Amino acid sequence: MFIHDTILNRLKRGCETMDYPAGDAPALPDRHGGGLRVESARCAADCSACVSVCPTEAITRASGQAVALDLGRCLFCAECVRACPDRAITQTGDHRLAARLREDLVLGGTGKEQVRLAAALNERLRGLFGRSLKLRQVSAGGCNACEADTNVLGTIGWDLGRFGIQFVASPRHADGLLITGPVSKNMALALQKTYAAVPDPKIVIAVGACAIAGGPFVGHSQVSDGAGALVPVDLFVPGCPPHPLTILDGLLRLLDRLGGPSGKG
Amino acid sequence: MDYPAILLIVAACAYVAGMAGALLLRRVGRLALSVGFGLAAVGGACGFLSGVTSLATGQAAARGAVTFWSGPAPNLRLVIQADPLSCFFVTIVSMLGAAIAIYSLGYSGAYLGRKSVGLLAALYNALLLATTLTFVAGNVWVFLIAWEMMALLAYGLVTFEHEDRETRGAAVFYFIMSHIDAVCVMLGFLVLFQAAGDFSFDGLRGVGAKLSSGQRDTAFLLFVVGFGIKAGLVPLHVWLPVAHPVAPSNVSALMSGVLIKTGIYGIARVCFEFLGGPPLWWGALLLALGTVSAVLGVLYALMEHDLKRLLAYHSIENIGIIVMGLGASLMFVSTGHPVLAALALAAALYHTINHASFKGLLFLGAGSVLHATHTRNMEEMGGLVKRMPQTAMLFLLGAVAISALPPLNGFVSEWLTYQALLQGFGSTDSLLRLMFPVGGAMLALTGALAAACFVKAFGISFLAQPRSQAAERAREVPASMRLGMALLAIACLFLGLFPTVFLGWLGPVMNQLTGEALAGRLSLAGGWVLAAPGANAGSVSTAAMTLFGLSFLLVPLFLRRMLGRRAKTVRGPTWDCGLQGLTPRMEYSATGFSKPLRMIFKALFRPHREVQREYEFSPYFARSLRFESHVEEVFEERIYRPTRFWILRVSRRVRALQQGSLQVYLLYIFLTLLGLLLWAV
Amino acid sequence: MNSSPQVVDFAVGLIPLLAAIMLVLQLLLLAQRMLVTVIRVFALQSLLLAVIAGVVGYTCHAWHVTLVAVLTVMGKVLFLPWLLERLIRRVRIEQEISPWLNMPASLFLCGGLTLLGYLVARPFASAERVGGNTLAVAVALVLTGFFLLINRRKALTQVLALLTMENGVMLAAIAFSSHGMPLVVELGIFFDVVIAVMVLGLLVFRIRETFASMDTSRLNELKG
Repeated sequence: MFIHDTILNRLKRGCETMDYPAGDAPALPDRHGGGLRVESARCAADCSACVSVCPTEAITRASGQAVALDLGRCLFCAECVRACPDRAITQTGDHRLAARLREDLVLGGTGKEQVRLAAALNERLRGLFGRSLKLRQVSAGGCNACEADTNVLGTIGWDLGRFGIQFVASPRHADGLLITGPVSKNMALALQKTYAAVPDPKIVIAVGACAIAGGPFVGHSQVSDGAGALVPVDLFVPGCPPHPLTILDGLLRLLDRLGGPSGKG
Repeated sequence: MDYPAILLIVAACAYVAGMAGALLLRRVGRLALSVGFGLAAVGGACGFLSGVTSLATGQAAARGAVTFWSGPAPNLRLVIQADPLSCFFVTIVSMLGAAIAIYSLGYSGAYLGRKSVGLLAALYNALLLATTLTFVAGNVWVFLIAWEMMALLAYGLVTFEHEDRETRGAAVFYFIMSHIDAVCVMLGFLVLFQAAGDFSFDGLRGVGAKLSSGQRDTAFLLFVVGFGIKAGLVPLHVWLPVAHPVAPSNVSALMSGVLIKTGIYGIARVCFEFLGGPPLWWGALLLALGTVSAVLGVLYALMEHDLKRLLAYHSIENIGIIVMGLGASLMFVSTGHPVLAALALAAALYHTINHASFKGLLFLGAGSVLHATHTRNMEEMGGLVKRMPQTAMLFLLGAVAISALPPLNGFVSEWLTYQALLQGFGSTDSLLRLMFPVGGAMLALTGALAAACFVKAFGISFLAQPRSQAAERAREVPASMRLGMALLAIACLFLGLFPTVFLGWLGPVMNQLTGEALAGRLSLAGGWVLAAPGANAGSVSTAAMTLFGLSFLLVPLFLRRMLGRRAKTVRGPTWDCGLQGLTPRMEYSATGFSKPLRMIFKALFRPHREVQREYEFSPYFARSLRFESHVEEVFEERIYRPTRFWILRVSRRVRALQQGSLQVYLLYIFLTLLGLLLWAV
Repeated sequence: MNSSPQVVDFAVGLIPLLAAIMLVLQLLLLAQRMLVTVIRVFALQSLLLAVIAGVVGYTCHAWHVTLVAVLTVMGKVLFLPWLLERLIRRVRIEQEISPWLNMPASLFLCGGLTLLGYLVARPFASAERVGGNTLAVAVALVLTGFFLLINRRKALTQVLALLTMENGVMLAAIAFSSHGMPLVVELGIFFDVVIAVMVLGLLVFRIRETFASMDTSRLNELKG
């Protein structure tokens, strides 16, 4: 009667998938501060307190220039938030972080206090991938946290499949790559071969600080400092690891499935 | 004018000329090769035409026996009789002989300078002549003389590469088994003779009625053992996987294709014509032996990694299927169903010619692979489909045919066999009728296992990457070798696509043996559909299948042309999971491929597996690794080895009589002489 | 019988006598040790055989038997003894070495064998062409020749023993049945003997070379 019990159980529990993006997004956990906001106007003249505390040297300040925070290298440890005496860097509590261009992740200049969110793909690619996007996941030597948070998108609560997005077994079946990890030297050839094996047209998504810029391993000789060194990237999802909501938001933004240019939630 | 008979005589003359030419010219290797094998091909072509026209025009049935020479004693005559059964088998031997002769023109080139090619060609011609003579023999003398000549010439050919110790041993074993079977056949004929008083086949026809039941059973068993050894029927098959691989490949093809069929010819002729009126258990015994041969043959074939041994075991399987058909036919004769008997016999004989064509093709393919890579071991091959594409395609055709896949010939003959077996259950009330469905089930099992075996044989030998230097350097074989194989492939296609035509030719043979020609009963719709006789029997049309298949294939091609014009094609390397490169060491090995079946049937195989590794720190970083795996051949271990052991042991005891001194031997003779004289007095 | 009665009577009387003398010569061979003498006794025996053959041929007007007589004279009386004496001179062996069974015992045994020969030949007595115990003598010659073959050790004596067995067979062929053996058989036997002796002569020489002696008891490794 195993089947009978299972069916009954499922009927009792009903649909457990969240309403997002039709409904509200789930709340971020308390420790997760969301994105960062840099208002360089508030910085003191010679202050570089945040520069020295950043573990990945994501923050730079040339003398006489405004501070620059590279969200792509940021591990979101919030040390800089605590170190800043002038409250120039603050946490926004916003889960939306994905960007199309690498430059869009560098915060600090005028008009660039927060990350410029990703625009959708062009019309042709939206037509091809909008309702069916098959991705090949390449785990290129990281700590596996980004893979875990990407994986959870396939569970009942998130249900990535309802958007037509799926992870496939072979790059030959895929429309694009989703890369995590800093691309160690051992995985460099594999990543290149995988990219070459995906049929055109293809897209590449880099998820996590490692895939964007090398993460905590930045500058190490055995690491390529991110996927961008080897393949052209269409979507950057910063975080260490990014919350599943951030990743989902990025994917849906890419496919313009959030409903409206401003997006809800 | 009996043109086919004249053609047959021309064929015989061509063989003799080929033999003489090859021997006379043997110093000039290339000329001997062309002359010898060229004349063999001519002879084969004439023989083939002779056989086919005899059967098609019905002249074979109208022929009587011809006495060429009469000796001093009343039974000492040279009698030739080319009746339908003989013509059918002459067709088989000639077809195969001609195709293999053409193949040999290229294949024997490898022996030039090393060994006497003229001798090979001469022996080949002589073997074809002896085999043809066996089939057209009209009395026991000619039959037995030709039989012995066949055995002797086959021995000569098997031992052609006698430098190798394995070959010598195998050839001697073959020779011994041939003689045991000749003795059994001779004894069988003697039993028949003492009731008939006549050695000619005409006189022996129906002699079974004159024998007591004990004598008939004895004769039957003697013939089954004798012809069974020749055919390779389990448990008398042990010589086959030993002798066939060591012969040169063209000879292996001839042996597997034709020589073992002489056993089938013998059983057919003796059981149907001479003995007649069989009790039910004769057919049941043949059916049982055939079933066991079929299953065991294919199981042992699966475990082999020597390509030619694999094919040799497969011959045992196919002989099993043929004997199943013969057994079923005899059972139907006993229970009084002549139409079903003719159907089963037709299935058996059809499978005979089918096996000759596709097994010949496969052995020639194996020979081509051997020629190109110099190894028979499948574990060292691979990647040959890119280097030898035409050979690979022809081998694939043979593999598809032998796996009984439509629309080729193996499918047709197995379909006919199934039809006969399925209708057998209702034909009798005896308990033995259970053998029919069991036989059918076992046949299905062997079909599946045969397909698995050939996936392994083709896949490991030809596909993926080369596993050794030899395979890497392989080149496509000369055109004559490919032509020989192509001829047999055409035969397979013809026999598969036009079964009704062929069964029409087979009509006189069935008429001769069972009195029922099945004329018109087997074909519907003007010959396009093959139908089995009987109320619930099925029908199939391979030609229609092929036409439908081809037309379905045309639709996507058409669509692609119309719609896919703008799509661009990109060529890239095979996806290899991003590794640095695929190496041959990552491929399936033949042993590995067959492991699941080895485990399933381990009660039969009793596999023995041993792994020894040498390591310093940890077993995961071994310095050297030794793997040994072997499978036990049940008849060899349980029957032949103990028999050999006991014979040798008794001989050693008797050997004590051999003192070694001349005087003692003379004394033995003298005492014997005295003893005999005293006894006479 | 196609001759006059006196001739037949003469033949009937002479032939058994000659046969008996042949048997006596055979027994003499048993006792003889000098090789040259052995050869000469054999030649004499063959001569007697030839005479018997000639008488039978003359009496029965069977020309092929006469031919046999002539051939026997040429072959066994003249050619073979000459060949063997030449061989002896080359090999330089003069004497036989002691046999297995000593002389009284062997003579006794040969007596028994002669008796056996007589017993064996009794049922065939009526079929003989010329009367007497010729078949009995023939069988006795074969048996005693065989015994001689076993008993003696020198290869040459063994060859001679074989030849006396042939004499016995020839005698049986001439004497037996009313039609005689077909000529082809007798010629066959004859040529077989000549060739056999030539081959054996060669072999004796080789034995001598290999073993430095003609003693065939040295050939004791004849096993598989």
